[in-house]
Amino acid sequence: MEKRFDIEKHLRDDLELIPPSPDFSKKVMGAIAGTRIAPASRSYLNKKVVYGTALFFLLLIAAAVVYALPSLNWYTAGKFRLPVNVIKLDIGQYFNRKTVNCLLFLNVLLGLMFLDKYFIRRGRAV
Amino acid sequence: MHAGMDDIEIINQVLQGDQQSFEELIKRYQHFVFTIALRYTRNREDAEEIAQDVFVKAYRSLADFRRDAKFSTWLCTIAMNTTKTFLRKVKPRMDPLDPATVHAQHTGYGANPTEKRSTQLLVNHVIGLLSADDATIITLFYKAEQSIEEIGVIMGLTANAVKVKLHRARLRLKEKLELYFADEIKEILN
Repeated sequence: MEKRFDIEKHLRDDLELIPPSPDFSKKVMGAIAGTRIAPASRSYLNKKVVYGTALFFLLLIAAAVVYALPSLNWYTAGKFRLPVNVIKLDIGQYFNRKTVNCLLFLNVLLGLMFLDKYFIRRGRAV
Repeated sequence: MHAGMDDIEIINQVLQGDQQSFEELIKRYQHFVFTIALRYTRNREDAEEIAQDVFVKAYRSLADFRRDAKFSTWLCTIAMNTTKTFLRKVKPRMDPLDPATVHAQHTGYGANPTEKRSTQLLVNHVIGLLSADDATIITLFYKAEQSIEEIGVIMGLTANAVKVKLHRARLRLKEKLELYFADEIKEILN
């Protein structure tokens, strides 16, 4: 009968973990010598505050919905029309020089923010 | 001193202010952490830097370790995240692994016949030919005593995805063995 190389068995028996340098544990102990264990996040994260904040925002959304619902005119639901005529839409009216300048300014601003983040990251990595 | 103690007992000692006890945890898990880092960086210096960082992070946030998972799983998760962050920030210093080169290196130690026949060396060499993810998943499953679910937690995958990846990693390992080391396998089997 032909013998087969049993990968499963050899992985269990022969695969080895690679050891770091012999003084590795000493180096780590040296590195943590001046550090302190940070307090557990559960000790300073107050669950009541978290739930309270969530409740506040849920109430805010609920209040907005309650306020908006009665002011809706349900009878016009079937006769809905867009406020602008899309077919005869004059793009030039909205996409004028002023809008283009605003968009350009926004893009430059976003570009600068991105560059700033990139340099901060590169600085940290070096 | 800590030989008979389990991880939780040692962690409790460290949390009570006995910093020296942490060295026992380092000694127990340094091989796992270093191997994971090395699988991705393929550079000992970088891997050691990452491993050191992992233990410092683990020490600092030891109070946050919830005991619903194994300490090794928690530590391997930190190791995986730290390694990936490192690779994003720093260009790895590894040399691209050319299978032919590795094969030549492998057959090169044929000067010593007993070494050439060693299945251990063969298996560990072929692991080096796999991708970092494949090599890590195999290491975690076969050597770090992590279950499929725990590997999922470490690698940020579902249990089913881990099963599929592990199966594929084993297949690729078999392919590499058959492709580059067919003669060596024959020798081992005879």
